[in-house]
Formats: sequence, C-alpha cells, structure tokens
Amino acid sequence: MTDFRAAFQAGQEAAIQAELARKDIDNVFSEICAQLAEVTDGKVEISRQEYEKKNPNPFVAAIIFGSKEMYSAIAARNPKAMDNKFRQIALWEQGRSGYPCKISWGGTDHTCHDRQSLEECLASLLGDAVVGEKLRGVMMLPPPQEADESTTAGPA
Amino acid sequence: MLGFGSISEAPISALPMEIVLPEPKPLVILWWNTSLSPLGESRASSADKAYVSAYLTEIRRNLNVDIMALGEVCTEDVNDIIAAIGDPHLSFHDATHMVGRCKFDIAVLFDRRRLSLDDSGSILDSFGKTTLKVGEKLRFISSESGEYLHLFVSHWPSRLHCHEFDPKRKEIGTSLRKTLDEIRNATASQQYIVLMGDYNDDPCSASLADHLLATRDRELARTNDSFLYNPCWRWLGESEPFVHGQTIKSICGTHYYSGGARSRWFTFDQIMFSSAFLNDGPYLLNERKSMIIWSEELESRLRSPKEIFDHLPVLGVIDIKENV
Repeated sequence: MTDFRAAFQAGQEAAIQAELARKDIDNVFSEICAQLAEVTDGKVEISRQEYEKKNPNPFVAAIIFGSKEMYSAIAARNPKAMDNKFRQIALWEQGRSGYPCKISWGGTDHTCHDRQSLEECLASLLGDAVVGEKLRGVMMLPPPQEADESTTAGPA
Repeated sequence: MLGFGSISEAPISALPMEIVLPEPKPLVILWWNTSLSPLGESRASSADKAYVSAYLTEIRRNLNVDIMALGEVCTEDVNDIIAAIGDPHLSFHDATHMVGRCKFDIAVLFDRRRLSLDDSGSILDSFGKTTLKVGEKLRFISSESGEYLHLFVSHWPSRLHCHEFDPKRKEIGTSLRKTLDEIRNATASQQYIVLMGDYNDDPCSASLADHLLATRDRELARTNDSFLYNPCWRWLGESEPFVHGQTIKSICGTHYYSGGARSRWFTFDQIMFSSAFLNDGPYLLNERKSMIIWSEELESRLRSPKEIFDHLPVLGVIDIKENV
C-alpha cells in the first residue's frame, strides 16, 4: 500500500523549507533596500512588483475579457520624489518553493539556486551600467516641492 | 556518418524546355570547439589560427555552411577567422563577453543573405559562488521563409571543473529545458529550435537524456514536442564496422582525450533538434547528411600531444520545403 504518512511528512518538510526559502529571499530584498537607503539618503527603494502583460496586438487586447495575465519585475522608485512610481529594471521569476529564482536583464537570464547566488546576481544587476543609469535617473527625480516650483515657475 | 564532400544536389530537369526552379538550398549548420582560446583566454599560435581559418574556409566552401558556431574562441580569434575567410556575406555574433564573473567563449558566424539575427542573450545558472554557462540563445529570421529559427549554443563546464556525476550538470540540463519550454509555451505553433555545442557530456548522460529530454527515439520526439531529437546517439559507437584483415578508418566520438580510462573518444559535440524538424513544416531535418566532419589531418592533430586541438566539427543539415 502507498505510504501516505511518509508522503505527508515529506510534504510538510518541503512546506517548511519553502517558507524558509521565501523568507530568505524577502530578507535579501530588505537588505538591499536598507543598504541603498543608506547610500542614497532614502532616494532609492528596490522592490518586486507585479505588472499586467500587455498584448502586442491592441485589437486583440481590446476584446479579451477574463483574468489578466501578470508578470513580476524588480523595480526601483524614489519615495521622496513627486513622481514616485516604480520603474522596472529587470524581470523576476520565483519558483513555487522559493528557489530557484530567475532575474533577466540586458539579454541575460540568470537563475539563482540559493541565497548566496541571488545576492551575487543582484549585486551584478546593481553594478550594470544601464541599470546604474536608470537608478541614477530615479534618484535625480525632483521632490514634490521642487517639482511644484518648476511647474508653476514659467517665463515672465 | 563522417565525411567531407558537397552536400548540395543539382536539380534534375525532365524535359529540355521545361523550366525547373532551383531547389531551395538546405540550411547547413556547423559546430566546432576550435580549442584556440579556452574560457576566452588566447593560447593559440598564429599557425594554429591559420589552420582553423583555412579549415573553416574549406568547410564553408565545400559544404555550403550557413551557420558556423565556434567554441573556445576570443574576439581576436573571431576577427582573424572572419578576415581569413574573406566572405562579405558573413556576419557574426560575438558572445565572448563577460557576464558578471563568467566568461563566454562562443561566437556564431552566419550568412546574412539567408538569415538575420533578431535577438540574442545569455543563460546562466548560479549555485553559491559558482556560475555556470548554460548557453547563448540566438533567434534568427529566415530571409526565405520568414520563419523563426531558435539556436542555443552551449559550451558546458569541463569535467575537470564539474565532474561527470556532479548534480550541477543535471541542473544545467533542467535550466536549458525550462528556457525551451518558455519558447514552446509562448505560441501554439511548433517552434524550430536547434541546440548545439560541446556539452562535455555524452548523449546518454543524465543531463542531456533525462533533464534536457534529448531522446534517441525519433518517433517519440516527432509525436511529443516536449522532447528534442538527438541524432548524435548514432555517433557513440565506431563509425565503421570491424572487418578482419582490413584497416578501416573509423572513429567513435567527436572529442579525443588520450587519458580516457574506458574510452579515449567522447561524443561531447552534439546537434539536437526540436520536434518540428521531424514533421511536415518548412524545415526538415536531413539526418543522412548530418555528420561528424572528419579529416585525416585533423584526426592526427587530435591524437598528437603536441597539438592544442581535441575536437572534430559536427554538421547539421536542414532541408527547406517549399509551399508549406
């Protein structure tokens, strides 16, 4: 007879491991945010965000009803800026059990199987020249007051 | 199985006045681990480079090769090879770049009259501080049919750095499989996907047979597009049967390693095809003409301890069907 007790135990063990892995990944992103806040005076926040997949054909997109297809991305924003929307810097995929997770940017798909490799990959992402430019743009966004002044101040 | 000769066939006209349109030329694909610059670090002499350039020029001319994927090359090698071939129709994709701390040593030369490169990228897999190169992905558009042709070129880690039974090898196979599944799931129609490279694993290795799902069973691959068809299973044994009293030239692999304990030959260089190539679409695998390219001179270089060369090139041929 099939050993359902053993299967149940294995499932419980896997559930605990998956929960630990997902917490582990959350902690890595919290750590990035803490470190970036320190060096940017709180002007860069990194987070995983969900976006709706857009159909390349606008006519098809207009007639499709039902559940929306979503995808995840690593995104950055400046919480101190007037325009504090998140901007995508890489695509993100996470396994059902946490690891492996995949980060895609600049034509590279990088799959990480553990915390150390995830940290290394995220460090490569932040060290990339194009991503660096995007983050610089986010950091330079004007704060609400300055933005108000620049929009109200017109030529005399 | 092994050979060197023209693979194009002249069209036959039934009547002298009948207008016979030329048969579409097959698409010919080559992989060769040139051994010039392992991990992208140049080590070859100018004589070695001249030999590789001359051999590739001869292969391109005699076999009408459209795509030449090269392993263990650096940018300088690629530039020298292109200059030596001197063909104005050749374009190239140089994937000998660093991705993080990982160095690729692959380049792909292609005939821009027949194919245009639409997209490209790298696939990496990391475990702790170790990053493994799964492959370089290229998406071509055929100028004749307008069909996409997906090409994955790989040079998997050497068994010296990642031994035969290391679980990481299985993970690389799984990672490549997931990328293929993404392409497969993105559209309802069958996709034309070719995988080739030096996998540092034989066709029967778990990484390829069990995790990448590259099967020797042609019928299974034809009817179930989860599988790839790997015709290189045919290259595992001796290419010619033993006949008592006769000295017959025969090889049993694509890579020669004189220190091999159970075999000095390994079939590490392979070309694999998605299910679509076995069905009725515009691209059809021509298995009869897909082969290991052998020459007496290259084999003697492989066997010589003084030489850097240790791989034979392999060829895949795709027939193009009109009016599909």
